[in-house]
Amino acid sequence: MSPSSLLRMAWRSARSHATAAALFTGAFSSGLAPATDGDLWWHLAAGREILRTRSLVSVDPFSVSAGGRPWVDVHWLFQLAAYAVFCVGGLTALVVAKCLLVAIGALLLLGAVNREAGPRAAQSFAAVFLGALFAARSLLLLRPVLVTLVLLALFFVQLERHRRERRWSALLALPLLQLVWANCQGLFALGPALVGAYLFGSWAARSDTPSLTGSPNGRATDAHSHSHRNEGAALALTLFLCALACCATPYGLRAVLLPFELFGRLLPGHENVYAANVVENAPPLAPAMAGPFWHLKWFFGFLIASFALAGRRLILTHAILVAALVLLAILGNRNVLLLYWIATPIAVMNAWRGARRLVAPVRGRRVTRTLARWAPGAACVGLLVLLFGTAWNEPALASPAPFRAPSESARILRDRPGTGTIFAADEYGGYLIWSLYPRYRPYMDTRLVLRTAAEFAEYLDVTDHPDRFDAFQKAHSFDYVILPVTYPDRYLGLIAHLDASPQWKLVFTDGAETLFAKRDDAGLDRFDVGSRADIDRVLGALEGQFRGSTRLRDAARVGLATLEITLRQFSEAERVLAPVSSPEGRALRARSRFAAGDLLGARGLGERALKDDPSDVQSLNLLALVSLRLGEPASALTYLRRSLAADPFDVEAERILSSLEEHADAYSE
Amino acid sequence: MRFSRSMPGRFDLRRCVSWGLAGILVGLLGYPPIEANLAARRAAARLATLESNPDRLTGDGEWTNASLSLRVQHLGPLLASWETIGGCGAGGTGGSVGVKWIGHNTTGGLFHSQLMLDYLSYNNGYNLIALAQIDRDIDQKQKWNVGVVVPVLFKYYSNYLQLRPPVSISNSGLGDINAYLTRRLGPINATAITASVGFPTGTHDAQYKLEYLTQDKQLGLGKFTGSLMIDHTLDESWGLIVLGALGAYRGGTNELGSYRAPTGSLYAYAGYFLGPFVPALGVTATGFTDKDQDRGIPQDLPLFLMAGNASIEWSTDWVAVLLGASFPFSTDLQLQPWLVALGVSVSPF
Repeated sequence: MSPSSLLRMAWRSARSHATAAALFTGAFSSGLAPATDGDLWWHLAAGREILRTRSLVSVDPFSVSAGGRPWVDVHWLFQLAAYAVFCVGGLTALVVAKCLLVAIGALLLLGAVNREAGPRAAQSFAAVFLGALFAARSLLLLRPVLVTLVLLALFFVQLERHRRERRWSALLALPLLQLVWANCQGLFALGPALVGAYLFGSWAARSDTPSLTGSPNGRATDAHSHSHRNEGAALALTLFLCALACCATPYGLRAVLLPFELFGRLLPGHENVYAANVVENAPPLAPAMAGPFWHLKWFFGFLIASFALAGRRLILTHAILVAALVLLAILGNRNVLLLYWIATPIAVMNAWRGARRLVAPVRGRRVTRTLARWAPGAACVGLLVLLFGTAWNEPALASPAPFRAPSESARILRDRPGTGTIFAADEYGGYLIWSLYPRYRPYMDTRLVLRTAAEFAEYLDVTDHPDRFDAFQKAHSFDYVILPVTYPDRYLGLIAHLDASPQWKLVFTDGAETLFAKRDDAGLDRFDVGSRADIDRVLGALEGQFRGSTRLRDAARVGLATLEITLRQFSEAERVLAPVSSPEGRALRARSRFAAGDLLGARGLGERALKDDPSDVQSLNLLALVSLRLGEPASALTYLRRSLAADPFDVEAERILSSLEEHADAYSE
Repeated sequence: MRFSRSMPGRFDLRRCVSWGLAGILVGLLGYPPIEANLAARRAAARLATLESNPDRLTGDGEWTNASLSLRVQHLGPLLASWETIGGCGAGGTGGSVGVKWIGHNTTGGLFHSQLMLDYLSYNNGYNLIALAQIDRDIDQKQKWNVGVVVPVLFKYYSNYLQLRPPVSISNSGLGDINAYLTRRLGPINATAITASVGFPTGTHDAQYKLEYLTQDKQLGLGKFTGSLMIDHTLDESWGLIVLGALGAYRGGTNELGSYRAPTGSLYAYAGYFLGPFVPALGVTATGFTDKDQDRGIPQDLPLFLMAGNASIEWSTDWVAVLLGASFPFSTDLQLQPWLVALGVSVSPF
């Protein structure tokens, strides 16, 4: 072998290893963020309970509203594993395990692209995949979906190998993997669906093949058909075994039906209380989701280009998979991650097949060679920098993400003697179960599969109409109420109602969570939001907690000021917001002044915000209302027009417009 | 065998799927800006109404305070983990054989579009038929409706002409495009009369080894066709009943001497409202005035068919999906080519 060919081999090897290393590192760092999701906590609690009782959980022991009901806990294997990892290294270990799973899955997919389309395509895949992971990193939650990602990758790799090499041995492992999948997450139905897609693709290709590849005498067609028939039989057998494996859970047929029940909850519609109210079920193309899912349109653009480039080189199975995943993704934003995970390698394979043909006329040119060689690498490096930078700015991994778990309220209750029940926001339920079970039980948590649609609707009704809470309380006799302030802001009305109620008193807040106890509970002192001393104590604690991050500190102050305004403590709100220079701080200050009746002050702040951003919808809405209150309807309508032109779906502007129409009608009557 | 390549209008399944998927994705991509544009226009019209008499507007009252939200966070593209809105939990405020669509379907959009995929099974092959239908009401009372149906067909037959070695053929491409006009009658538009014209856009002279395919394997007859249909819907509290009749002129005789006989059908369906689902059962009786002919030779086809149909529809305000099947029998109780269909209907904007 000549030295130049040796050098070339060494270069290729180094390049492929560098691609794998970059993808592994980037995918790993995309998950480096503290735990944000409330589900994690009841998963850990279930794992702990299984170990404690040495038996699986078959009825809900944790909550008030579903206590004693049958619970098809298909996640039990994940829960045991997660609890074991947590016992070893706490939340940090769980986050590291998550990152490892994502990185391993990414490497598996890289291998599939490499085998199908070569190392250059693999480089491109690494760049696009890192971009997709970066965009969808908010969906990389500490949940059983991580197992689904790895198993999806394994299924995809093995089924691709079988499609390409027609070796039935590639399918052997799938039923076993399916067994694990069925005992880890409700998305296990994706396994048989994936095998079914390859089976259907093989059948469709057989129907399509004679006209494309057969020979006039028919012999080649027969040979081909024979091979296709074997392929189809192996896939059909695998599908049967995978379907059988789905039944091999401690919950039998009930577990098999679970994915269908969950799918039903994704279907959009006003009547579907789960689809309309659970954030992760909202369609990502809905106007409210345009901000967080800005990347989806770019990904669709990429898919469009890849299909246009593939043309007749398209593999039908890939088309079926992408179509199904697009459908799932547009139904609920939680599935966008699944789309990116599997559609990215497929789209790169498609694009690569077509791109070869497209660039053939200019392939020899120096600029094309340079671009093809260096562009994916440069994109990978850029994305790695972005991913590292984002991970670096995240808070510590050892604690839950700030503002997301009611850790202080739970600590206060844990330190008290006795038992009781808690009305809390559903996303707080898991953490309260983890921290306080069995002494305290929350009414609601995010295991909505345990609740009927009517029960969930009733819970939402009580939170959205605080005046109905008193009757609800009479029926359930809760001992405590724990509600979030801004993540989400749905509970502000109920917080105001409880604070004004003669039965309840606010006993703790840090601006993110609020703990209410009964007025006659002598063991807990009332927290006075109008008291400078109480607020200073909270501010001091927040300064200490978020010393290293201005952004977090500002967000904490905005939360506290939001609570102050909700409870009509406007001067304290102004004081809390004084050091906050962010646009959010200024917007809230303006709203505080408006609510306090200082219309000119609100107008001044609103106009200043408009100078920085003339299409700031929140300021335009505020100025419209200020103008109305000052008796300048023409000016109000001008602001409102600008607001709706900037964002025709803005909820606040729509609310103002509807109220105006309503009051104008009343006036004319 | 390479038969299909030599045929006019060769259907390339992969290319079609590629472009079809790309087209669907373009549609999805185009949906949000179109929706935003329409919403902006609606808001502008409402504002114009208010501007016509601004003196009536007043900012007095508690409603101005209640209109203002305290949510001031901007959900930008680069949020830290703790700022994201994802995760579980309640969010912030913020012809003779066919399947007839029985159910709520969808209404109220700018236009109504429907895609029906039919799989028609034969002993020696199958037909895949994609029917894309777009229509819209042309008056406010929804008395008049115009529409167009574009069929794309893929006909596959194995062991064609019992040759040795066995030869499979496929014929595919655009079928006869139909345009139709519907007039609805009665105070609640319960009766609908639809006149339809079919244009000879499907090939009728495809050949295999210089021999014409039989007329049933062609994509069209090469002649204009026409039909007249009357539907009457009885709305009940539990569901609906649809009664109707169809008369169709299927093109007569073409220049190759192939003939498709006129046909008449009577049908009745009953659907039951089950939340968003409407399961339905129906029966169709179809008679032909004569046997179809392939270049002058009568084909061995029954003159009378009785079909049992079943379907289930799931619908929301803007999208409906229907899965159905039809099983026709001849008078000697022989099962004729049966059909399963999957349809999606959307009324966007």
